[in-house]
Amino acid sequence: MTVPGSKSETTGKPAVSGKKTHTSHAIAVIGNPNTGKSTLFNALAGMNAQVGNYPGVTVEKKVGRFRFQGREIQLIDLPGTYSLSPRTADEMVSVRVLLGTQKKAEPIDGVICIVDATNLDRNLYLFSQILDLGIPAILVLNMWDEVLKRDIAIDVQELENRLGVKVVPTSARKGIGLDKLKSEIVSLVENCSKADFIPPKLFPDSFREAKEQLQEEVEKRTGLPLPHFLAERLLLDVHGETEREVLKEDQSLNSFIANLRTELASKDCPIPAIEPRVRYQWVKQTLDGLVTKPEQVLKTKKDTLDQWLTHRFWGPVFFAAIMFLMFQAIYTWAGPLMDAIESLQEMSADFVMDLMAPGALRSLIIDGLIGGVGSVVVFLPQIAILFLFIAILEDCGYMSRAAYIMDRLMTRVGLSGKSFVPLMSSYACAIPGIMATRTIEDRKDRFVTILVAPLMSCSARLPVYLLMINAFIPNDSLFGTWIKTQAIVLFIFYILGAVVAVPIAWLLKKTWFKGEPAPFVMELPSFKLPSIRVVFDRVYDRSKAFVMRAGTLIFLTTVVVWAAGYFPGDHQKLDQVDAQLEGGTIEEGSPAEDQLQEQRRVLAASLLNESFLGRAGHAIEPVVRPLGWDWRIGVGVLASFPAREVIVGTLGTIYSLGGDVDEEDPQLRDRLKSARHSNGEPVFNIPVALSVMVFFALCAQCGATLMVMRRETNSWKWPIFSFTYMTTLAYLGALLTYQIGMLFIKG
Amino acid sequence: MSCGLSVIPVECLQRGERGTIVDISGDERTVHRLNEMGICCGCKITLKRNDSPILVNIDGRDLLLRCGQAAMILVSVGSTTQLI
Repeated sequence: MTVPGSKSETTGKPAVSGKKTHTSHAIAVIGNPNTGKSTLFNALAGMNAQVGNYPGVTVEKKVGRFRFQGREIQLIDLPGTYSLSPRTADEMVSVRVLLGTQKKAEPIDGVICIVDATNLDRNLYLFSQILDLGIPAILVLNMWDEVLKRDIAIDVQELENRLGVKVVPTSARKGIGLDKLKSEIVSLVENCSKADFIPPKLFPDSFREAKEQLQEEVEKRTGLPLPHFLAERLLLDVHGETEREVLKEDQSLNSFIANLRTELASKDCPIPAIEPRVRYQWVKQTLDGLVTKPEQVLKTKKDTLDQWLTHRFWGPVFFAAIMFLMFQAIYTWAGPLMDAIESLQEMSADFVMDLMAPGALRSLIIDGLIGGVGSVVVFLPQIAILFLFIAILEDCGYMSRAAYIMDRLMTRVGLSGKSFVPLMSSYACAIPGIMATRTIEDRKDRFVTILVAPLMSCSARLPVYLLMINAFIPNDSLFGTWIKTQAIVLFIFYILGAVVAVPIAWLLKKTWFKGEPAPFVMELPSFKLPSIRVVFDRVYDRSKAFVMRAGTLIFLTTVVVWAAGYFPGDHQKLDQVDAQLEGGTIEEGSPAEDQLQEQRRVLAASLLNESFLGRAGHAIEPVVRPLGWDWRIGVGVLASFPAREVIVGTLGTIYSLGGDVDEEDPQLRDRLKSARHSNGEPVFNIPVALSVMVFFALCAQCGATLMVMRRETNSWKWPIFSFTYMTTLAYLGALLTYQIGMLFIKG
Repeated sequence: MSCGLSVIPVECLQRGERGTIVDISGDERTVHRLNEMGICCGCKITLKRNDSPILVNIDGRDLLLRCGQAAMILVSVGSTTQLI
C-alpha cells in the first residue's frame, strides 16, 4: 500500500512489525478555518510533527502521530478550508490526499472533519462534501466548551444516527474529549472500510446522470477513470482546477462539459448554484430539531473589546503600543539569558584553549566554530521573544483585527487587509510570510505582497541590528528611565522596511500590477485566551529552525570564511607567540607581555591581510568604501548573501583571526569597537554602524526566500527582480546614511 | 420583494441594524465562494461597522466585506431591526 518515497519510509522510525501498513494507519485532518484545527492536531499528535512540502505545490505537509490502544495512527494535517472545491493547484492537494492519489502521501484510512460546534449549520457544508468522498469519517464537534458556556443544546446521539458516522464533542484547548476521539479513530481504522460509507444522494437525478455521462466520456477520451468526486467537481467548478487538469489531457472535452452544464441549467439544476442549494438543504434537514440555541446575547464583553481594538483612532494606537512593548521586551527580558549563553561561549573557548596547543585546528574550533556559530546562537533568546509575541498575537485572534485596522492603509497602496498577515509574519521570517500569501485570492495583490515581503524586518536581521546597536548606540534613557535609546533605534529599523515597502508596493500596483483593489471577505475569529500549548509549540518550532540554520548553513559559511582567512600563510611565528603568552612564564601586565601582545597583533593582522579572504576583501574595498566600510565588513557582507545572519558569524571569525582581540574580553561587540583601520582610526562609528544596518534592512540577502519566491510565482523573473531592486536600494540607502551621518559628525 | 419590506444593499444598513439576505448578485464563481463561506440567501446579517471594509455579523460570525463585493448582497429590512 505504501507509495515509494512516502513519509513512513523516510521517517527512519522502525516499524513495529515487518508490514507497516498493518500497524500504522493514516488519518487526514480537515476543517474550516478558525475551528481550532491546529490546536486539536497538536493536542493529539504532540510536539513531534514533521513538516515538509508536497512536490510541485506550496502546500505544507504536516504529519504527526500518536499511539493508542496498541495502534499507531498517523495524522495528516490538511489546510483549513470552507470547501473542497479546488480552485487552485494548492487546493487540489487536499482533494488528492483524501482520494489517495497525492504523490508523497500515504493512502488514507479515514478522515476526521473538525467543525465549530457553535456554528454547525455553516460548518457542515464542508462535511457534506467529505461524505461525498465515500471514505470512513468522524465528525468532531470542537469548541464544545463554548457550546456549554452559551447554553446551546445539541443532540449528539441523534446527529450520529442521521449522519451514519461517529460524532465526538471535543474542546482541544481544554483537553476535553481527546481520549474518546483517539479511541473512535482507532475503532474507525479497525472496523470500517470504504464500503460502509456510501455518499448520501444530495443532487437531483438529472445531475447524477450528467455526472455519469461525463465519467464515461472522460474515460473514453483520456483512458483514465475519473473518480466520482472529481467528476462532480469537474461539472460544478467552472474554471476550477479539476477542469484545468482534465482539459490539459483533452482540450475538446471543453465543449462537452459546457453542453452538459447548459442542459442541466434547463432542468432547473443551474451550475454552480445547485451545489450550495442542495448541500445547505441537506444540512438543514440533518440538523432539524437537533440544535437549540438561546436568544443571542446582544452585546458581550468581547464585542466591547472589539469595538475598542478596531476603533478608527484607538485601534492603531493600541497596535503601535503592542509593537513597542514587543521591542522593549526583546531588550529587557533577554539580557540574563544572553549573558548565560555568552559566558558559556567564553567558558568553552577557554576550555579549548587550555586543552590544545596553538595551531590550525585550535583556530578552527575557537575562531570558526565558537566565534562564528556562537555569536549567532547568542541571539536565540531575543528571537524566541519575538516569536513568542507573534505567536500570542496570532493565537488570540488579534492578528486579524490588525488586518482590519490596516485595511484602510493597505487600500491606499492598492493592497488589501489580507496582505497584512503575510507581511506581519514576514517579521518572523519572509518564507512563511510569502507562503501565507496563498490566502490572497487576487493574483496581482498576491504578487505585490510577495515582492515586498522580504523588506519586512525578519528575525535574521535581528542579530545584525542587536550587534550594531549594542556596540555603538549609547544606552541612554529617554523620558524617565523606562524607554531606552537602543530600543527606539531597534524600533526604527524594524519599521524602516515597512516604510520603504509603501512606495514600492504603490509603484508596483501602478505599473505591472494595475487594477482595482481586490474584493475580499475575511472572517474575524472570536477572541480567545491564547493556548499555552499552541504558542509554545510555534515558538519551539521556529526557534528550532533558527538553531538548525545556525548549526548547518551558518556553520559551513563560517568554516569557509575561516579557511579563507587562515590560508595561505605561515602561522608558525604566531603560534610560537601564542604558546609563549600562554606558557605561564611571562608575568601578567609586564612590559614583556605587552610587547608580545603587540607582536601578536601585528602578525595576525598581516596574516589576515595576506590570506585569500584579505585579498578578496581588498579587491572589493573600493566598492564598499563610500559606504564607510572597511574591507572586512565588505567581505562579511559578501559572504552573507546566502543568509544574512551569517554576517555576525563571519565578522566574529574575521575579527577573531585578525588578532584584534583583547583576550579577556572575547565578545564580538568589543572586537568591533576596538577594530582599527591601518591608520589607527576606529573602523566603526555611529554612521558606519547605521550604514551597515540600513544595508541589511533593505538587501535581499536570503537564498531561501528567493527560492520560495520562485516557487510561489513559478518564474525566475520575480526573484531576480526582487534581488536587483532590493540590493540597489540597500546600496543607495547605506551610502546616503553614511554620507549624511558623517556630515553630522564633522559638523 | 414582499410588501412592507425594503430591499437595500447591505452597506446601506444602519449600524447595528439587522436584515435578511434576499439576493446575492455577481459573477457565479464569486457567489459560489460566498455561499460556501456561509453567506447565502436567508441568512440574518447585522451591520456592525460601516467603514470600508464593512464589518458584519452573519449567524454569530464576524466577517469583513469590501463594499465593492458587499454591494452585491441585497438585504431586506423588516421589523426585526435591533441595535447592538
